[in-house]
Amino acid sequence: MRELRALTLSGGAHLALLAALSLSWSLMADDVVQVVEEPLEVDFVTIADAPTVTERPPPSLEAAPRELVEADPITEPDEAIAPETIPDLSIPNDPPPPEPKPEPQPDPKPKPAPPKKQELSTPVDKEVAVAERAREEDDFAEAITDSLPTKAQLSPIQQNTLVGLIRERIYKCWDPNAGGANASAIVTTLRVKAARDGTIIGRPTVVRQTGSASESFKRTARDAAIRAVLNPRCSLEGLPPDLYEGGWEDFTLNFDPKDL
Amino acid sequence: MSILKSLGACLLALVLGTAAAAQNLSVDINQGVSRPLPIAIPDFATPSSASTPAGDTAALGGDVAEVITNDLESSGLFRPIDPLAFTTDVAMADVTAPSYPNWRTIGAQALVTGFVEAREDGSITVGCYLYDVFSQQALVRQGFNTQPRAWRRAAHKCADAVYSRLTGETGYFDSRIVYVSETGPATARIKRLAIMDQDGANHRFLTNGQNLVLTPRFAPNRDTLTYLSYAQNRPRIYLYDVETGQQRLVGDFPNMSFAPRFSPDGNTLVFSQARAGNTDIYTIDVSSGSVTRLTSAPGIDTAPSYSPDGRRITFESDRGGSQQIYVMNADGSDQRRISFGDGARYGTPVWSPRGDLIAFTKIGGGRFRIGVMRPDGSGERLLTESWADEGPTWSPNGRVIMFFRSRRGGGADLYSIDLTGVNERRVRTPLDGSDPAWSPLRP
Repeated sequence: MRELRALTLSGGAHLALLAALSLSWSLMADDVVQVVEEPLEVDFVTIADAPTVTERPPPSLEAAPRELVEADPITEPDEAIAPETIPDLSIPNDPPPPEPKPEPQPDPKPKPAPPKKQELSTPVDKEVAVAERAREEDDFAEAITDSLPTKAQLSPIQQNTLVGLIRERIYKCWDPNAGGANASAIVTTLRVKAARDGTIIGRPTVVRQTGSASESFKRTARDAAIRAVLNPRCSLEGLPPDLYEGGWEDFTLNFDPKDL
Repeated sequence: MSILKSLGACLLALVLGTAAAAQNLSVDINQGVSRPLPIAIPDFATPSSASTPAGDTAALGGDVAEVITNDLESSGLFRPIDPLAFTTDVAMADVTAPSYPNWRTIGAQALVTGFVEAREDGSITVGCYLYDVFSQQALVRQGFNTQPRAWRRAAHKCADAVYSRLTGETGYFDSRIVYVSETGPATARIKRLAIMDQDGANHRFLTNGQNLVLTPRFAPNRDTLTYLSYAQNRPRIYLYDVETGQQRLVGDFPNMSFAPRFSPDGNTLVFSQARAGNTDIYTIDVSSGSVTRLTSAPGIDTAPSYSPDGRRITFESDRGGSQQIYVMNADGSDQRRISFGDGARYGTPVWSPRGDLIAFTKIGGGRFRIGVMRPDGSGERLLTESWADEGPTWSPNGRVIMFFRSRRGGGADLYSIDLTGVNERRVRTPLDGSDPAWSPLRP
């Protein structure tokens, strides 16, 4: 009985081996492994709405124009699988660099209509004229005062010191390496406002960007610059308090990678 | 009078204002650091744990995060933070509303969250989100529907979206590699075509080794290969359909044909052929089979590769007395030599998908090294320093080059290196590997 079973098993094993060999022979005949691969497709779909940010965004973002995120980051869309664009994206992206902040100009204050000379006939009118002139002079003085820096001015030596101190803080957190062709030509200028304790107020604003590169590289350069400023490891904490006003309370940073 | 005064005020203010602006502190930062971006990629959540043929969605969430982590880490541009350092798990609610301070505390500058959800039709959705931790902004939100067994592709797509948003370049993770798998003694080497995902997963053999195979190359459609096979001991060009497993001979020439490569539109193969002791570059129309001869110089012209716009071809030739790199128009006109290294030879030129560089193998001083130069021959830069590196192939975004490195004791391995010459990595293969070719990005 046991022999019979052994014989059966042995016979089965031989048959299996023969089948396997025949199969491998037929495969070798054309040298191609006949494995059919089913196409594994990946479709783009719309997922949950823009994430709810629990912390209040800085006010500058609220006011900033928003650009749509590219619906499809894949450069090579396939005809067979039409990527679905994601509608109603409201991910706050970088605002485009605003126009350079205009220099303080004397604001032509809304003035009452100038009195007509012919009508200066009554004492009241004369008084009005005198008052008007006085107001104009006030406006004149005010315009000049407005245009002057309101904060304490730093001496050139103080400025140089501060520039060095800020540079020393920030560069350690700036990695300009992201980005490829032409990315080294992008200069990003940020305006940064800081509180006395060294924390950055709001999000630095992009004043301007120069250099010809694709928008995605420019965006990457903006992100890298902003990350450098917001990185707690490169905080402004501990900068000299006497250089705060008119100094590091409000300054600009030019991130220029061309010499790297 | 008042107008005059206003004007005066304007002018004075302008002068003073300019002076004030000039005094406003402006700091030039023209020095930086280069270090991988710290990024946190916690396990993807699931709205409700459900079983799929590829495993439970909760387990898949961990697997997806791991694939993304490996992808980003392998680029050398990111430093995924060890999950042991995480102070919090990411539940479904946290996916779209992360707690930024928790991630800032551990030094993360970017955060990837997501979910895996089973759908009623048996497919899964992988949701992928990227956040800037410092500015607390959402940067990417992308969803992918796929069959559960294609979950790795969804993970690669998520990694590509993250890479693309943070570097400004297109990604390359959802792509594949075809190469020649080698085994056995040098005298009886068995060479098989093999294909795998860019990260080495889903490896499989396409041929069983009966015939010697060389130079596999992808078609732009990513599902067709062309390669050289020595069936009946005669080198001939074949096409292979990755999905159906079907192969066919291209142009049954009486002569030996070598080094086939697709044109960017996929309609043409450019290759070299030996006729009467002279090897020249030809093209063949894949559908009609009509053949055009492009070069006729005495000597060996071979290893042709199209520019991405299809208007030019780079190739190697020994017509000048030594093996050098040339470029010509796609119709064979305007043939010019571009490599002039001090006594060195140059071979296997491959045009970058970005069009701005040509990668090559430089042979000199007893070494084979990988380098790049501009299509006019300027800006030559060597990327590798080993003694036997050859056969470069570009990642779909033109940022990484893969090649093979021979070992002194015999055998070869696949390696990849960043275009900047850093982040050299060995690409793991089950057996020895040579002659890799990178696929275009998958759709």
